[in-house]
Amino acid sequence: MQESANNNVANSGYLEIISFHLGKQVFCVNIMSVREIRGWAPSTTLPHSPPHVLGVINLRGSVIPVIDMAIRLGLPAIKPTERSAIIVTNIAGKLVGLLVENVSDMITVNNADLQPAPDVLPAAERALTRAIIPVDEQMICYLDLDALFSTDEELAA
Amino acid sequence: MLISRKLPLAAALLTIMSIGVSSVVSLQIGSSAVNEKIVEKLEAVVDGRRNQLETFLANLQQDLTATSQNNLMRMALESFKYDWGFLGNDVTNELKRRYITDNPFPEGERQKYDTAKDPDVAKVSSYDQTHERYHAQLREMTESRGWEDFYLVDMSGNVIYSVNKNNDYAGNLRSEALKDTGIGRVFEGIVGANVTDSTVFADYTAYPAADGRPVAFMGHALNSQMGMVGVIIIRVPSGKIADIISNTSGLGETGETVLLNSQGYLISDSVRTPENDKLTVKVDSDLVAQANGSAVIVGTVDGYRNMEADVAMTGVKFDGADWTVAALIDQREAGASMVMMRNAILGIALLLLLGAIAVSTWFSRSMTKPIESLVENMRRLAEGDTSIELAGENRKDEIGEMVRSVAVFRNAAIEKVALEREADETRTQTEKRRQDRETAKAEETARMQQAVDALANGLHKLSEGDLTIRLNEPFIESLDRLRVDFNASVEKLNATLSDVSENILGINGDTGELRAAADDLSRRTEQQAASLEETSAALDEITATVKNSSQRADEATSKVAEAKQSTETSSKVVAEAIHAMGRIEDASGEISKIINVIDEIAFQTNLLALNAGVEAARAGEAGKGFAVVAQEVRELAQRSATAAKDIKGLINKSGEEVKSGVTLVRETGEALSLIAEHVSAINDQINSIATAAREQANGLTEINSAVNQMDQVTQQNAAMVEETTAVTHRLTSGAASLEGLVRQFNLTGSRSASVPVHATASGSAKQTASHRPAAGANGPASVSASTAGSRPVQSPARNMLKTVASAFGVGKSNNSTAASQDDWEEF
Repeated sequence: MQESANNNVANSGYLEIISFHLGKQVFCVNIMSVREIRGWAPSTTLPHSPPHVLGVINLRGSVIPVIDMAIRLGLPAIKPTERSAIIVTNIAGKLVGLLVENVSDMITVNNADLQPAPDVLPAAERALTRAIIPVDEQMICYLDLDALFSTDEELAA
Repeated sequence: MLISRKLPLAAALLTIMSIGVSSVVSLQIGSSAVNEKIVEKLEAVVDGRRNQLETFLANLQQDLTATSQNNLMRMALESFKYDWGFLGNDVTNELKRRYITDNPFPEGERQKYDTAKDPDVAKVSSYDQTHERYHAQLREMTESRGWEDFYLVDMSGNVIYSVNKNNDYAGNLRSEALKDTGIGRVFEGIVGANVTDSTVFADYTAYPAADGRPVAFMGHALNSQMGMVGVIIIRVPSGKIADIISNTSGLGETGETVLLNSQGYLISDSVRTPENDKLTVKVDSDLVAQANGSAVIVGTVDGYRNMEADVAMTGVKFDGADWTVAALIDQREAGASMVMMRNAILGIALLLLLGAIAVSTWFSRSMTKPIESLVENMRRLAEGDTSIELAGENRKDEIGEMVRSVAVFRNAAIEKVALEREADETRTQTEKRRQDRETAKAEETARMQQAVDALANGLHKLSEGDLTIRLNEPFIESLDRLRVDFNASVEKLNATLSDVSENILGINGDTGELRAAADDLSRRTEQQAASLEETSAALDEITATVKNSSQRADEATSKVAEAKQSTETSSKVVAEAIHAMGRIEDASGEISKIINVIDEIAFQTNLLALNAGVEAARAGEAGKGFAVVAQEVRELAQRSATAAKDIKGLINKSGEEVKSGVTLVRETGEALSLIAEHVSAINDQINSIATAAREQANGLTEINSAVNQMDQVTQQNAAMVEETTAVTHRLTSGAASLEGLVRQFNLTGSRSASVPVHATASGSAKQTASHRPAAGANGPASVSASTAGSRPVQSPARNMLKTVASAFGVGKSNNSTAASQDDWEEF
């Protein structure tokens, strides 16, 4: 899956992304890793879970974890509202829900517009950001979900 | 004439007069009432009949119009018309043979014959079949509506069907025989003039096909979409008209109602005559021509049914017919009750008269008999016979009084004879005593004459003014006292006149002073009157001013009341505005809720569109088109969300505006109530001003009356001064003449009256005459003392004037006050 996504980026000249807001920042993920977008619903908290893991929700019978993206990305926590959304993503074959402030747009960008993140962060943190996409004088941070997950695992371990 | 005849005669005359007059009056009132009653009854009857008739004719028209719109009529007409063509060359005679000549029913019942079809004959005419099909229905319709006959006519005038099969059946209405009859005219009136939407009517005329009886017809066109296809005609049901007209209820034994055509001929049979009157009998009167409107005309008619009749008529207008309904009643019948009444009244009058004569005769007898015997007795008493016997002295009526009076006369006559005898004896004794007294008297008279002569001489001297005379020779004893007293009187008179002469001098001096004082008083009174007049004028002006201000105050009060009313109305408006704004707030809340729902839907739609976009992207190339749609949906959803947000903002804004509006309105309301309170306060102020002005007006009225009283008193003073002056003048001249009189006497020891009295009188008279014109110049010298004495007291009127002037202080009144002050100064 991840391979195909990467291939997609490499092969075609265009990339389709879904952008969302966290505070004033705009982030985006590859549309191919998105399974579904849902309105916010309260989640069931798990014992001893790290702060960015909100809990689990029931998605048509299957139990999936929900991660607060703001905390995960080191931003001030957001308070979920009725207008917040959960982006259900498929990360390395697992379904994970990402709580975001709101989903803003679906954008098709040229691969040539992707720009590498500046080389000022530690490797682990820098791995989260795959590229920076400037759109209409706005900087969209293109997140690498696989890195997010793997780092997560590390943290959990 | 004797009283015994006069009394019954007068009673009879009075009875005849009163009964006669009342009988004549009641007869006249009765007859006019009866006449009015009859006329009213005739009017009511004729009006009722006219209304019935008009209703009936209108119904007839409606029936016919309704029938003409019946499809059955058109179907029957078309069928008969079609069959008419198959009846050979001589259709008229063929049909007349089949339905009149060969009709098994007698004339008058021919309608019962349903068809001439012979069931045994194989080939039947289609006309007979059609006749069989429609006849029963048409006959039933005709009978139920009371028409005398019913015809179907085609456009060329052929009577292709009739219910009753009279002699006009199967004829042609344009033929010579039928052209000028009523039915022919109706047909021409419809077809010739192409009248498709109303009935045409032919008035009663003699109709040959009905043996010359009068018949009226009414027709209506039969229309299809193509236009007129034929005509239906009916004979107007005379029987029903006759039922209406022949109703004689309430018209007595000779009265009836008749229906007349425009020439005055009867068109309904009279129920009062056995023979047929239709179109043969005529009511010959000008009233028929006049009764052509809806008004009821009343009059009399001669000659109809050989009677003189009261009649009421009115016109009936119907579709060209000009009919008149008349109600008649014989005047003899109308007058019958009058004759009965007259006979009854005359009978009663005669009975009353006989009774009155009998009673009056008996009564006069009872009175005249005792009077006759009394007259006989009185005649005898007059001849001197005092031996009469008087009967009825105990009666209590006037005759008893008369008898008693005659008895008094009789007794008086008896007493008189006795008295005359006594008087003769007394007269002879008295004559002798008188002659003795006369001789003694003559002696004494001669002695008295001497004394009287001496006294007369003395009195004569005295009358010439000589008061020096004295009588010294003594009189007879009885008269000597006279002489002594005479002398003493002359002495006393002499002394008195001397005193009078002295006193006259003193009086002359006093009157001069008195006259001067009176003149001064007169002048001052005149000045006072002038001042009072000015005061009165000033007061009038003040009164007018006060009245004016009082009116202004009243007007202001009414204006204030209006202002108050307006503020109250405004308060109501403010309350309503607040209420309305509250409703706007409620509505805004509702809208907000709806907007929230829309927002929610937009959000959900956005999510759905996003999901659709995700699915489309995952579908790759195949999902491209779907992705575009999803994008569009997302944009729509976003737009609705934005719009919802905008609306929300607007509604919040309007809510705030409403809130501030409510506050403003409330403030307005409070301001208005504040204004209302101020207005009430102003009202109270103005009311107190008005009250004050009224009180001022009352005070001024009182002042005015006080000034008027002062004026009157001044006038009286002036009059009195005039009188005093006159009296003073008279006194002066009186003193002069008194002095002249005294000087006529010749006094002993005379201190003769001095002449200067006369000179002073005339001098002061002259001075008075010159006083008046130059009062100011001459006056003060003589009256200065008294002026100085009376000056210090201030007049109350002047005080008041000063106060008023200072209150209404203007330059002019200051001047006038100053002027008046001058006057007072002069005073």
